[in-house]
Amino acid sequence: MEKTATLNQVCLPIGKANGLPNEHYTCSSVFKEEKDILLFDKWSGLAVSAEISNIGDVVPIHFQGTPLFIVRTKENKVKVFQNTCRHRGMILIDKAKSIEGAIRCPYHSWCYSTDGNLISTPHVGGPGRNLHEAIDRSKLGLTEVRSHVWMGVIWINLSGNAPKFEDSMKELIDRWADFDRPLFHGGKESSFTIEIAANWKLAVENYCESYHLPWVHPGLNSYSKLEDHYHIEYKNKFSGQGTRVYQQLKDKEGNVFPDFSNLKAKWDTAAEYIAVYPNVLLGVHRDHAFAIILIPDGPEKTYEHIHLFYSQDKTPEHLRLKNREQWKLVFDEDIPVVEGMQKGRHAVNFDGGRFSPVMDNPTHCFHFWVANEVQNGRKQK
Amino acid sequence: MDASKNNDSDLEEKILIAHQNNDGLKLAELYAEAAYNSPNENKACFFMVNAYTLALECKHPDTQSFFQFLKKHARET
Repeated sequence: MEKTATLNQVCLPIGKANGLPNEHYTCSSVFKEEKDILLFDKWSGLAVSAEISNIGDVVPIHFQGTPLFIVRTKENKVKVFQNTCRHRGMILIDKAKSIEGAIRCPYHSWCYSTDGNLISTPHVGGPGRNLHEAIDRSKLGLTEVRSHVWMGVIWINLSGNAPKFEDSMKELIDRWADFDRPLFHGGKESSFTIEIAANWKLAVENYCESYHLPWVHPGLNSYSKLEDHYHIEYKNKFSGQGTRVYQQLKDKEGNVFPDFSNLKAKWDTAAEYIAVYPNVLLGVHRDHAFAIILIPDGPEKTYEHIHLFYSQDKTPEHLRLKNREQWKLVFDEDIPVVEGMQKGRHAVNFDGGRFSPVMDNPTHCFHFWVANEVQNGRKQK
Repeated sequence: MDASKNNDSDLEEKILIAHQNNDGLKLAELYAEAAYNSPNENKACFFMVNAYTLALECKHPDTQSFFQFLKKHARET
């Protein structure tokens, strides 16, 4: 018997397939390879647009070692740029702040507008001279990263090679057309981060299946039972789970969050939880939604940035806090199993594991995508 | 005693303090003052470049006039 399953075996029908080999969870070189193929070449989640809610807001973010910043331009557009001056590569934005006028490089003070144009090059032609024929400002704007805002998330395609976001995500955008509307971030207390000692893919795998609910989330399972769930799979795009028995959070007086308006009847009791490949986990309900952006930090560490959204700007604070606590409990319950699977990936004779052909379909869908993309990426080298 | 030298060093000190305080608006104004007080074009433009740069960053109300100053002397376009 082979020690590790090959990627070909991962792509077999679910009843015969093995999971991804250990090296896809533990090895630095495979992590780097997957970073290029699965994260940089696709539409990845970076942040939420609520982090830059006002014009001129700017936040520096490192994404897999690449220094970026997100900005809300004077034209009220969300943009993402490489956080480096076109002169000497100096970091332009060192902390979150509000830009009043131009972005000035702290080194030699080259200035950029918030939409990335190079607008001033002080002393570039000698003292007191802002011009030089060799410096064509029109060609030296900030390096923009393709970006798109959907479901409150800023998605980026670092390589620039992916199809248009609307085309890449068409099936999910259509599926969740009811939620393609302004989502209102619940504010500071509606964001939190969980650090897990595990590869980012294990967070995806755990999120997209309901098989573990009775054992890991007994509280959740007490009203939303395993048999109330259904699989969601779209090959090479996304997978997850839905429930037919979503119950709204209530306070003692029976108050609930206001619903999103004009939803289809399905959403009266349904909720869906979908892992959008590669690194965004989304959940939608009649009265709130959430986004979890997975930021890998090496092969065995991941940050989960969680953000809760509502149908209106103003919602009761006590309910928001209760909702946050409820979800935090659920996500915290997942930590030991996700970290446990990571530890298990160091067992030299682990063969990637086998899937339940009935319960693990969304997980296998994700494994298939990873294996297929990595194989294709290797062929292109 | 040379009064202009005193004024220069006074301005220089104010500029240093504004740098320490990271007060861009003030700096833009002080550099513009230095530019307007300068005895020759090159020196004036040197200071005005600084004034204009900081004014751009801080959205100083005189940004445009600083720009026009530099443009007039073919230092900006």
